[in-house]
Amino acid sequence: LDRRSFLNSYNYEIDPTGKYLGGILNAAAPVCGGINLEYYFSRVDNHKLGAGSKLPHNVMGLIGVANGIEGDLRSGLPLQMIEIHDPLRLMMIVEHKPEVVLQTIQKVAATYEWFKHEWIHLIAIDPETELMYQFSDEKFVRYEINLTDLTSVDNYNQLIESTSENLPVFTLKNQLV
Amino acid sequence: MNLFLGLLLIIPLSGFLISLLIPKSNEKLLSLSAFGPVGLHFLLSLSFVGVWLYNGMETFNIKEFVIYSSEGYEFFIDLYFDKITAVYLLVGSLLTFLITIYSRYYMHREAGYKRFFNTLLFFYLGFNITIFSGNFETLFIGWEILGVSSFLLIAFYRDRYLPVKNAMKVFSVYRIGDIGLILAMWLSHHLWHENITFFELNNHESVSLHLHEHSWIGLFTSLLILLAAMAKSAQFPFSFWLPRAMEGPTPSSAIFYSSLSVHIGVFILLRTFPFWEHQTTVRVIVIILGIFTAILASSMARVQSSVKAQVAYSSVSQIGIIFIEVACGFETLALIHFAGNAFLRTYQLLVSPSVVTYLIREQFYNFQPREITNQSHFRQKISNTIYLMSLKEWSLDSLVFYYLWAPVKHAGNSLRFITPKIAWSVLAPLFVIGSILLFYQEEIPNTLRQILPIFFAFVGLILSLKSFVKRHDARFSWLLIFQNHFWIALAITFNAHFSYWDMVLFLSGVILSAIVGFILLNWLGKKESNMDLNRFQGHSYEYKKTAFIFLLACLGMAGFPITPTFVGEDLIFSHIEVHQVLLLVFVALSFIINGLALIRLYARIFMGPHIKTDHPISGRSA
Repeated sequence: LDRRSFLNSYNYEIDPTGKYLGGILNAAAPVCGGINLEYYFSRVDNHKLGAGSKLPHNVMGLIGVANGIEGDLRSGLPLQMIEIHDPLRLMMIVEHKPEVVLQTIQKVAATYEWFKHEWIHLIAIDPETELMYQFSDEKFVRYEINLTDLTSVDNYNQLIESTSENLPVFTLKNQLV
Repeated sequence: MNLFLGLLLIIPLSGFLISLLIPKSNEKLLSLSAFGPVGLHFLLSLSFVGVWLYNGMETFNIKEFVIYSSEGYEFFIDLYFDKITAVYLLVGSLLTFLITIYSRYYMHREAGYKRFFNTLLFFYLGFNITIFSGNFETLFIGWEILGVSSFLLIAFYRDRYLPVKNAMKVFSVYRIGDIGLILAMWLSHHLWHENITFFELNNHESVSLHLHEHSWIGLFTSLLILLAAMAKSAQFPFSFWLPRAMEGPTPSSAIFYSSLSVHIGVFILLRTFPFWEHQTTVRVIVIILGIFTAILASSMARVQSSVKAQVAYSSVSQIGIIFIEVACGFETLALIHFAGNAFLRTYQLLVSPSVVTYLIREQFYNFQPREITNQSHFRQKISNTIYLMSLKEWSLDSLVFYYLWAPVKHAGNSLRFITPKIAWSVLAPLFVIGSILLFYQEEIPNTLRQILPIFFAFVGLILSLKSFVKRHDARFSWLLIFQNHFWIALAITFNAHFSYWDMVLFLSGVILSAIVGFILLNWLGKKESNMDLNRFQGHSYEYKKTAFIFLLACLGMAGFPITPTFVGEDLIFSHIEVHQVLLLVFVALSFIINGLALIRLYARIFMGPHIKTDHPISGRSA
């Protein structure tokens, strides 16, 4: 997952109504979604929506950077940051019953917007059946991972260095790398 | 020792040539080709200076080889080594060595990795030629290399608008310095009746004898040298170019624009000091200029909003003080000051991206709000005025533009009547008539014979002016400059005895570059329907190699020291007599404007935001 994932500690057993889950999602969804979008837009057009190459940057009045001594303050992320991570749409996986998750996200309208318009993928794993459900069109539907026709690679680093374009999903031959 | 000095020039040259051949993808080898030769160069310089100190700091003057000689004229490469060279050499090679190692990682995965190291080595070559030069001609070679490589380093991000615009701006200021140096060379030819070496300037008796005879020539020569030094060292009123040069990657700005490049002006002053040592007027002017710059630049440095501009202006103000030291005759102090300033500014620029961390921490712990004082209304008004003026950099930028370039553009724009039709149907036959007249020189009345060269040079100047402001047809602009060279050659042939070989020498480089450039422009014009000079085209995005060859052609046309035209240019000037001011002004102006027009042509066609938008391009104000 290339250093892009993180785990929030949460136990569905002590939170049957989704009260604590709501607290976590209301904080995590806009923050992670915002970061996600920042990467996305900086990558789509690094010159205009991102900050361009970092190398000529010039600190302006301790509030921002410009490229030289004149010109716009640069917003977004510099080229050197987006090069490390390909922008992928954020996916949140919650271990709880889909009905509870749906109720929880619908409680706060601002958070619900993120999921409703699919700026963030949401997957709920039913803790009892261990089946996955994807949130789409305002309801949860069954979701299955397709791992069959994937190319496998030996040298992951070499692959990363060879291109700055988006890479498809690969499986690694040597899992310990 | 003789061999050693040559070696110190050959190492950067070979490093540069090797770095050109290495493939773009091989970052390791590329950076090795930069820091390897530079490191070797540093070690050699260190041991050379060590031996030299041990041997009692003897001053060397080595006449390396003669490039061209004719009756009463000799163009030779001359190397010189003394205390000044030693200091510049050690500081320059150590700093460049450190920066090449730094850039090795800093530039990692940057699109122009190879271009960066090529240009850096090219700059380093120019720097070395300049500091080792023993006469004006050799100095001028290094000087020109510095100018062009500076242009390329500032416009390193050639796909953006502002770097290219600022690079053009800096280049135009450098061109003012060039005019100073060319004319100083011309005057010193006439003062000494030969190509003087700097070593001979140390001969006090001979200098004062010549100066006594022609005191005004001496004064003008010194002032022209000063003009060159002012432009290069960003002294008043040219201070504005230095912060604008901070457009490239941080390490290149750190080493060149805040340390090595700006101190070259100090270098020429030190080098020619024996020449103007006994001219009190000149020394007073230098001191006044230094004081003025130091105060202005320091006021600007304090209020600039960006960290690089602050560093740039504080460097300029220190250089103002160095100017004063040189003029007062404190050579050793000036050298120490130079070394200190160069190291400090390089360091400051390298850490400049971290300035937010430093200052925020400081403000967090040691913040003291400004005390409200009861100043009188008048004092408040004055201090606010100075604050705002300094923030606006005392409008030096627009001042220089208004008085120097606006008239040139205005003059060029008033030449609308010159269309391709006129150029071919009127001017070309006129040129043929002029050439025919050449054979019947004896039968032309004397007064007319005096006016004709001036007229021809004037036509040449008009052509290059026209080319400079030309907004549509790149090919026509190119041919105008080509024609200009012929008119100048015609004018000089009329003026004085200019042998057949001299002419061939002058025109050979021009013709070759003109053909290459024309073919490229034609080819590009067929592929790309839009070759409008009204805006930047950015064709280097697609045609990288073409851009490089076209740049070479431009340099060839501009009399850059890669073709014999360079020697020819110097020859042309030596054929203008001291009293022919008008002819001189026309010829010199057309050389300067030619250079600008050519670089402008290159920048407009190959640099700037790409005209095609099938890939991300940056905004004009970014």
